[in-house]
Amino acid sequence: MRALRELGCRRTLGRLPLFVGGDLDDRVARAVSAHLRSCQSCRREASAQLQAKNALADAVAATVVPGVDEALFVELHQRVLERVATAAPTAPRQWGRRAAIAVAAGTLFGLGWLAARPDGGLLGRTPIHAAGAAHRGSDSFAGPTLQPLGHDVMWRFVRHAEASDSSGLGLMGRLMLRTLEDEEPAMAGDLFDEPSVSPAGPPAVPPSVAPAPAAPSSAAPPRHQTTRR
Amino acid sequence: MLKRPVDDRLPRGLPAQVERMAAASGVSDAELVRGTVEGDTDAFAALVARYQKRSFWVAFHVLGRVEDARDVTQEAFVRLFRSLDKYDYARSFYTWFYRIVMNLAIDLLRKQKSARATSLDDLNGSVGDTPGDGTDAVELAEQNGQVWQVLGKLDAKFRTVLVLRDIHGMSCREIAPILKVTHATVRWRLHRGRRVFREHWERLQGRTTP
Repeated sequence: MRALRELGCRRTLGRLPLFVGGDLDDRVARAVSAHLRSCQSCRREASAQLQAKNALADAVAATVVPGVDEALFVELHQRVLERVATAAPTAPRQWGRRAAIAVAAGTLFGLGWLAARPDGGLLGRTPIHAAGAAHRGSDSFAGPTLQPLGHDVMWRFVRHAEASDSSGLGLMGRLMLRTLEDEEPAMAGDLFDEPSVSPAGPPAVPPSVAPAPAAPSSAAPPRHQTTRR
Repeated sequence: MLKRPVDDRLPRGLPAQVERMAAASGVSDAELVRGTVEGDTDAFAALVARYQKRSFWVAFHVLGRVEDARDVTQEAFVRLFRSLDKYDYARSFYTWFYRIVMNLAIDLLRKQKSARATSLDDLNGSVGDTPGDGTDAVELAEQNGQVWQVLGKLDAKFRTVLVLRDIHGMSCREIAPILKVTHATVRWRLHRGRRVFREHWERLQGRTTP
């Protein structure tokens, strides 16, 4: 084993906390001992460090803790065995939590798949236009064909005369889900059309022959009609 | 090996069968674990008897309160029981069990520290006088109180290492897997913990001695 070079005071002092507990390896401990033999100030430091370390162990050994006696341990032993007798190998609460995490993860995955699937998904859809922005002047229009969840429906915006916002359209009440006019029109008519529209579904009519606008309420005409004209 | 200042004898009043198993040096911890996994309740009772005092004292020296130490010990045994089927028989049982105890104790210590600072009153409220009578005993009790006060001021990571090394006499190599840190980290914490302990202790002594 290679002998360690003689240690100076600074390096010795840095090793004293471990030296006093016997936690240095032999080679380093011998070098520290050698320095301590020749250096009185370091020896004083080592003595103070050792005193503090021994104070801890001595205090613990000498202290009687009230309330800790054989009766406490007998009771502790019994209580542990009682609890263990009723304890399941795995806490049921953990299973509940795991199930909740699994459901949440599955939901997030599903939503993520719907949003980002290769054929477009929610992210690939044409954004819904602000109703009325692209078709001002007409009362009813078919919005751009979107790609909603089933590829078989489109959003149809119907402007109602009683709209009270600045565009002349409300929000939720004016969004109606309709099937694509060229796909399953009968079903679309049954489900989504207004009573005035043919039950067979709205015909694919050009915008020029779109149905006439609904009569505006005489009490409160929509603002867009008055401002636009 | 340092002396062990805690009483780790078996508790009294155990059923004869359990006491025999717990006291038998020929019956290893691993055998008791295997017996427990196979449904032998006496084997688990023997494990509890072997380790309950040690785990209680470790928890007490970290936490400084009897009630907390008792609760931590109890909970540690319950967790141990629930996870015995995961025990790696190639490894030391007591390292594994001490890790459970220390994790619970450190968690509780941090919760307590975040709720309120551990004060001298808390520690003195838990620890009684030293045995003996007369002036020497009073002085000794006062000195011990200072030690507890200083220990209560230390950060949890230093306190745990000091408790395991300087009070319970474990080696740094034994402590490392219990605290799930490297051997070098244990040595560094021990080095730093002893320095900080000494600084606080000397400051307190300088304040109290004329």
